[in-house]
Parts: sequence; structure tokens; C-alpha cells
Amino acid sequence: MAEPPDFIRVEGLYKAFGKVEVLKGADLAVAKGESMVVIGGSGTGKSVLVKHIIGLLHPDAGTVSVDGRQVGSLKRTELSDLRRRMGMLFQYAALFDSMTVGENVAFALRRHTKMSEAEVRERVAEVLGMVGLSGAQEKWPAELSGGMKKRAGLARAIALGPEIMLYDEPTTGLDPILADQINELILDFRERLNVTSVAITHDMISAYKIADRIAMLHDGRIEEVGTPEQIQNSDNPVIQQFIHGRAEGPITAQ
Amino acid sequence: MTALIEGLGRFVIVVFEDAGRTWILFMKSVVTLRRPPYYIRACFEQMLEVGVRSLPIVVVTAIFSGSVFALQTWQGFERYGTTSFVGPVVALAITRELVPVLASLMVSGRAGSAMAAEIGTMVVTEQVDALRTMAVDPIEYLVVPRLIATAFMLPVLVMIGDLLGLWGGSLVVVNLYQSSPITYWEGAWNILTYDDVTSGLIKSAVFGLLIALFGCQTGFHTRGGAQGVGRATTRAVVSGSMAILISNFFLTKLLLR
Repeated sequence: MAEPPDFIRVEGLYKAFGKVEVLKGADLAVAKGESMVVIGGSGTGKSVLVKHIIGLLHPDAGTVSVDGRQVGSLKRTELSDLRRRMGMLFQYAALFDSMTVGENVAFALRRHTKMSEAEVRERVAEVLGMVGLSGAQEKWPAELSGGMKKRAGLARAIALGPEIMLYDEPTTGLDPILADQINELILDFRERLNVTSVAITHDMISAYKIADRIAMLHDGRIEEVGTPEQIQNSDNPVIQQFIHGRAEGPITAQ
Repeated sequence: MTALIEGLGRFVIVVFEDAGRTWILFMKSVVTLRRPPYYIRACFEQMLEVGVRSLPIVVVTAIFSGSVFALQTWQGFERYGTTSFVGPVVALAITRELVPVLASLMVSGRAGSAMAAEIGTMVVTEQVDALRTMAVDPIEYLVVPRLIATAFMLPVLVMIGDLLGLWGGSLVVVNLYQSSPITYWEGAWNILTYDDVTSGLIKSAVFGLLIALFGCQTGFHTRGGAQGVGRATTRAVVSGSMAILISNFFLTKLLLR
């Protein structure tokens, strides 16, 4: 079988903050429509990796390309166009706290579409319904629980109908049931909207559930990539230590 | 001794870093002005926030500055028997220096710190990153409206402050020293030229720009949680006020004819 063309490709990505080298030549390829989950310990640079995909950070060395275009070398209007095709869920949702939930979800619609006010309101109701927050338009982010914030953040991220979704720790800090609801939503978007997604997590239950393939980030590089079964059966001691959550092993706490 | 030199060196670096970052932010803002989108609504919201909501403190500042200046000059001029000059002197001081500088310092404490705190919080909670991922430029959406609003509203506040400052002076002259209000107001009116008032207004527009620039700049460079936001807020007010006081000298020199 021929390899599918890579929709998102990260090659030799190197990034340091001051003297701290976070990524030291990370490589990752994600096919169109695929759900890739990047696992790795806290502080290993998973967020840094996804932030490069959407152009929030610029590589010190190496390249990141999306749909055949290098993110780092795009002109501002081109980057803007690319970002409109992407949605990102932040770890703490990053809702605009000076706006209501409805205004948050409508934010990109009002700026990037020619929708009338009625159409915007209809679309906001639709996506809030998809994440199970019907009728929450007038609520303020401060009034929402952690799980509701994440779902509101999801609604905002999918409002424009993105082709690519980036999830930064989608289930971290949620109880197991809420976490599973988020997993279901992520699966649901993939089915219904056919999005390509990159999720980063250290929640293995979530990783197994939503991933087509899992990539393990360790010491600034991708240690191994494989299907959930391949990862579970890997004989790599780094992977085994991480997925079973053992304190003893090649990974040392930093 | 080495600690002293080190400390001094660090201070110099911080000052230049601050000034440099602010200049860069200003240039970036100017560049974004050439193309849409323009966030008109955000601009009006900031005018309300910076202008209308700062009015009370400017009113108090102006009235009491005028009063105390009249008090002091009366005391001094009485020794030469030239109290009829109190009106003209108060008028010049109020319009050229006192109200523009003091009102700007007050607005810096109120609005500049609020900008740093708001943007700083947005940075540490990733709201600024969220803006970027939604293809909205934080400079266009957050900085430019604040710059325009502050640079426009501060002269408006100063115009109101000029009148109230003069009135504050007249309160002292008329009520405390039982002098004629006509001498005071005529003296004030006759000496004032168009340039006296406009130089104060031009200066305050520049101060407004500086307040918003330092407020936004320190906000954007916030690092690390609530403590970082606190530091950014302090830095916005300290650097902003310093910038006002230093630029005031050069602007005054430039505008004096």
C-alpha cells in the first residue's frame, strides 16, 4: 500500500528557550483525516510541538509544513488563511473572559465570515449543541466548571468548521467521566467533520481511545510512532515505563 | 562595590529593554494601521474605559492643583504686592504643565496599569495565543484600539482639566483672599494664547500614547502567573510615568516658541 501524502509534517524540529533545549530534532508526519496523539511526560515539549504547527512558535531549526506549505515561511495573510482552517483547544480552554460563551464562540464567525447576525446566532447554537452546552450563550466563562470550559473551548474551536484540530491536553484535570465525554466529542468531530487532528496528552486511556496512531515524545525527539496496539506491545523500555506509569526506568524525573 | 555596579548595569539594561520593546510595539502598531481590519467597537470601548471612567480622578486632580498653585503663588506674589499676576501665572502653569502632566500621571496609574493587568492575564491564560489561532492579530485587536483611545481621550480630559484647574484657582483667590474674580479671570484670559493651550494638548496626546504603549508592552511581556501580572502592572506604571516625565522636558523644549 502506498504511503498517504503527509498532511502535517514536522521535520528535524529544534527549539530552545534560553539554555533549555526543549525539542532536539523532532519528526512527525500526520496523514489527512488521521488522529495522531502525542504522548510524553510533563515538560517534555508536547505543547511546544503543537504550537509550532499553528505558527504560535517559530522553529530554531527544522521545518513544519501543513498541506504542503511551510508554516514558518508564510506571509501574514497566508498564515491567517491557514489558521482559519485550524482549530485549537487549549489546556485551560483560554476562553476570553471578558466575553460571554456565546460571544466567544461567535468571535471567529463575526471576523472571518460574512454571516448575518441571525446566521451567527444559529451557528453558535448549533456548535454549542454539539458539545452539550445548549443554552449556555449568555453564561460567562467564570461561571463554568472546568469540563464546561473545555467544551465551550471546543465549540469555539470548531465554529468555523476546521479541517485540522489541535488538542492541548483535552482531558487533563477532568474526572474520568467528563474526560470520556471529551473523548467522545473528539471522536464525534472526526466522524462528522472528517478532521485531521493532533492531540497531546499524558492520559493513556484517552490516547488509546482517540488515536489512530500514537507518537511518544521523549528527550526532545519522537521515540516511537505506532498504532495503539503497537505502542502497547512495544518492547522499548521508555514506552513501557511511560504507558504503565512506573517510577523506575530509563525516564528520569526532571 | 561590584554589587553596586552590577545593580546599576541591570537597571540600565532594564531601561533600554523596556524602551526598545515599547518602540518596537509602536512601530508594529503603526504598520498594522495601513490595512484593515479596524476594530472600531473595541476603540470606543477603550475610549469609555480610559476617557469617561478617568474623568473623576482628572476632575479632582485639576481642581486641587489649580487651588494649591493659586495658594502658593498668592503667598509669594503678595511679598511684592503683585497679586494681580496670580491669574495669569495660574493660567499658564495649569494649561502648559500642571494639568497635562498630573492628569497623565493619574491616568497612567489608572488606565496604564489596567491595560498591563488585562493583557498580562490574557497572556498567562493563553487568551492571546487563542486570538492568534483564530487568525486575529493581538496588536490590531488589543493594542491599536488602546493607543488610539488613550491618545485621543487624554487631550479631551486635559481640556476639561484646564477649565477646572482655573476654576480651582479662582476659588482660592476669590473665597480665601477676597480678591476680585474679574481681575483673576481677565488676567488669565488675556495672557493665554492659542499656543499655551495647544502645547498642553499636544503633550497630553503624546503622554496618552506612552501610557497605552507601556501598559500594553509590559502586559505582552508578562511571564509566570499572578505574580508576573503584578510585576507587569507595576512596571507599566513606573516606566509609563518615567516616560511621561522625561519626554515632558523634551516636548516642552520643542514646543516652546
